Amino acid sequence: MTLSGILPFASTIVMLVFTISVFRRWLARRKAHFLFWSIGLAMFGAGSFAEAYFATLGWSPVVFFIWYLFGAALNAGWIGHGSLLLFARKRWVHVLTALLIGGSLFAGYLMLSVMPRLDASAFNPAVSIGEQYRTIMPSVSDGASVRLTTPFFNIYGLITLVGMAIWSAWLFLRKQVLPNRVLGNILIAAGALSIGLASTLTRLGVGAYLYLGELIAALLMYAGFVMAGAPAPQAEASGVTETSAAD
Amino acid sequence: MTEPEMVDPGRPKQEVRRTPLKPSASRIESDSVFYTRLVPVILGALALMTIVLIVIAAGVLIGVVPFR
Repeated sequence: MTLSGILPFASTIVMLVFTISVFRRWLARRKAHFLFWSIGLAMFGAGSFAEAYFATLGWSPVVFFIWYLFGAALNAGWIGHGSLLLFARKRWVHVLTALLIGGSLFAGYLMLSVMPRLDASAFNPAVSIGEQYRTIMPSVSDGASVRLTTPFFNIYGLITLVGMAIWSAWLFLRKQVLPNRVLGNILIAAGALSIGLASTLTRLGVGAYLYLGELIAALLMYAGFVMAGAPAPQAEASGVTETSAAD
Repeated sequence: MTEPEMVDPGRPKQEVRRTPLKPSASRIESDSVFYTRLVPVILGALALMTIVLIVIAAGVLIGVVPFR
């Protein structure tokens, strides 16, 4: 197996463990942010698995559908929305939830509509899918409107996930409590930025760091989640617990 | 309905129980260079990186940044 198969495969394993861990918290506490995080992390893992599949087993239109829709377009938005739900429980957040679900379904419809027009003959197993998907998919002007939706989900995910993690870390730092949550949220923010940076470089034509960025992101975010979610003395936690990205 | 509790003014007030704090686990030392100097710089750098990425993504979206 080559490095382009090993890195996404390792990311898949980390994300699988991470997703199960978060989903078990949702089962135990039934808080919406855990559910949105679980779904987003599962999408991230599905995208990584698709990359490992392409590197080892070759082309598959179904796997490409999974990779683009869940791995490239939706996952950041869903993870970030989970962070937003942790902070804000007002009515306008429900509107955003409806928009995210509706937008995701619409992106799924757009992706389905472009599937018959994929150029499978352009696929090269020696090149990472992140570097060659533009040659497989038609351009926006040729009908691949789903590509227009990706930046919206990713910008939304970046603002909410990284923004909330930085804000959360800052609140704990200002109150001078729970250093584990300060560091945990920093790791979560750094992990999210790692994949954001790698994705941006890929979009600008430098795709060599995408799989490495994904693995670093998976490891940092999981480490941050574990660190921020470590049990803390109740007396100090009471005032600020609700602002933790891993509550 | 419950009976109102008779209060004896001579009885000492009950003390509120407080969980003893573990300074190392729950509090950030105010003289810690790591938390007072380094962590704010890291947070600022992360915030700056976020803004840069958002600007690039927005640039791609509106066609200012070349998209390959």
